Amino acid sequence: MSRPTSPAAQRWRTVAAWLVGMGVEGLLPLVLAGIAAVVVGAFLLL
Amino acid sequence: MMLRPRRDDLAIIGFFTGKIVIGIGLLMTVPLATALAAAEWAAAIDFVIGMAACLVLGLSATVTCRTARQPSWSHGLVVAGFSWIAATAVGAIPHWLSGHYGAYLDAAFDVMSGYTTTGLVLIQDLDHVSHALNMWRHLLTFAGGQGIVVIALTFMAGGSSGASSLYVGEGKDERLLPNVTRTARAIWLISLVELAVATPVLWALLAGLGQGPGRSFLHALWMFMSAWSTGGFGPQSYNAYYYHSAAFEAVVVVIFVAGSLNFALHWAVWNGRRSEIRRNLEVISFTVTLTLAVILTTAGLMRLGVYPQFIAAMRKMFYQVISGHTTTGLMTIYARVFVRQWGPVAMLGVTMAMALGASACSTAGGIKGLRIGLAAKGLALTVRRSLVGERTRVVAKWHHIRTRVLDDEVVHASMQVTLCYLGLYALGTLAGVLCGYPPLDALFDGVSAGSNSGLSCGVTSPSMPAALKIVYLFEMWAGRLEFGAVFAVVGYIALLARGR
Repeated sequence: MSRPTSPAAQRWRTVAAWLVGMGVEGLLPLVLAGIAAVVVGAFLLL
Repeated sequence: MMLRPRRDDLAIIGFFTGKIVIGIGLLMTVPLATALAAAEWAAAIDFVIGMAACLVLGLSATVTCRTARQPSWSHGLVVAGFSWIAATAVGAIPHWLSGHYGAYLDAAFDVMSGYTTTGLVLIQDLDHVSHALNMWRHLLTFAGGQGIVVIALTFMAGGSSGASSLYVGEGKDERLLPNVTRTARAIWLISLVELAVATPVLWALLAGLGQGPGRSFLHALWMFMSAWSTGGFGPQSYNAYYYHSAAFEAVVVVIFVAGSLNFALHWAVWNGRRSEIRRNLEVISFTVTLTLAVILTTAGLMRLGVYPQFIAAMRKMFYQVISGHTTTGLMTIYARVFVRQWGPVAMLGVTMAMALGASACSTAGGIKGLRIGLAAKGLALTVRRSLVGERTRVVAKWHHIRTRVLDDEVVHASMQVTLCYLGLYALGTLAGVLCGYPPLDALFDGVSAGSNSGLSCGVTSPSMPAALKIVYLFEMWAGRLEFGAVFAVVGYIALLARGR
């Protein structure tokens, strides 16, 4: 049987999951826009 | 028929505005403590005077207007609108006493710019400002990002209907939790956890760049406050350009993008609903409009060959466009570079980004992604309806925290606010042109003020005409409160002036 998680550990887990979630998927718009900018920029450069 | 406000209506407004002014006075304990810790005695006196003024005015208002009545919906809107003006008037006292402003209007301009997380500044000799005043400038923007009323609600015991109307009046119409007071506390929880995580990262980066431990800590704290609140203030006159570090810029971008996302989205992810990010209409809208803005700006920069190195062009372009789209206003170029080097196409790309803005119920300004998304969906629905004929029922859905059916009323409301924003931008632009500035420059700074962005191409300066400063002040206030509270204040004044 797994040990019950303490409230403090649960809080840390919540914060960590939020930071990772926002930090990874929240930045997807920047990644997509960045790819578009590089493609357009490189095209105009050539 | 609308009735002229009675004495007890004014008492409610005076009472709650007084409470918020007291709150501003109590907030001054932070810069006062900074002044005492840094042995800045002149600045300490400025803040003692500022606090005394806030407490005297606030207590006078709460005592003379004491009432047990709860504010109604219209009271809440007027209090939200009026309290931002009152908070600006009293918050500007330490600014004005610092000697860094040419006029009280300039000090009030900077304070409104701080509360509304705009970032336009009229301060002079910023590089020699006291730590205390810098703390106050950045604390204002951090507090304003969450909302002055949100701060007041955080300390209120219950979530009455009056509290709810105050909350909505400030331009935040989403409840993270059923109770509005608990919603306000959840907003603060998210912001303070982000502060606790991000400030040490910036501190380490700045220490690595060669700043001493004390100075790097203060700069890290201030830049976090500025970025998270999408404010745009910086402790140095070169703004974010001062640090000359790609790593620092990258971390700051992450902070201001996070700050520009809806608190309801943060709360959903906080509660384990990570898929919400990919499905959310605001995030999708932000992705599309950001992509369009970077393409337009890139095309403008590449056409003129502004930067000889491709990487440098991408770095400068990306930072400015994201800063504009999230309505942050932190800059890694000089203001006049927009006009002298970037040219009209790139300037229009950044202007478009600023005008659209980021998420509703965040620290950001502008028209907002949700409204852009709803307008696009509404337009697509109209086209589909026209194609399938009258007998077929066409339904569109949109997702923001939960999936809903798109109805005409929602689209109509979004378009109304969008039109108000476009009118506000037109007002700022026209005022700039009438004051003698070139149309594109006037458009850039006029949109920046109305969308609470803070990027400037050089129009905003201490030497600009006082009339334009007042127009920008109005733009910042109206844009941040999203018009509801503004119309309520104007309506109240009109009803009072009507005399019956």
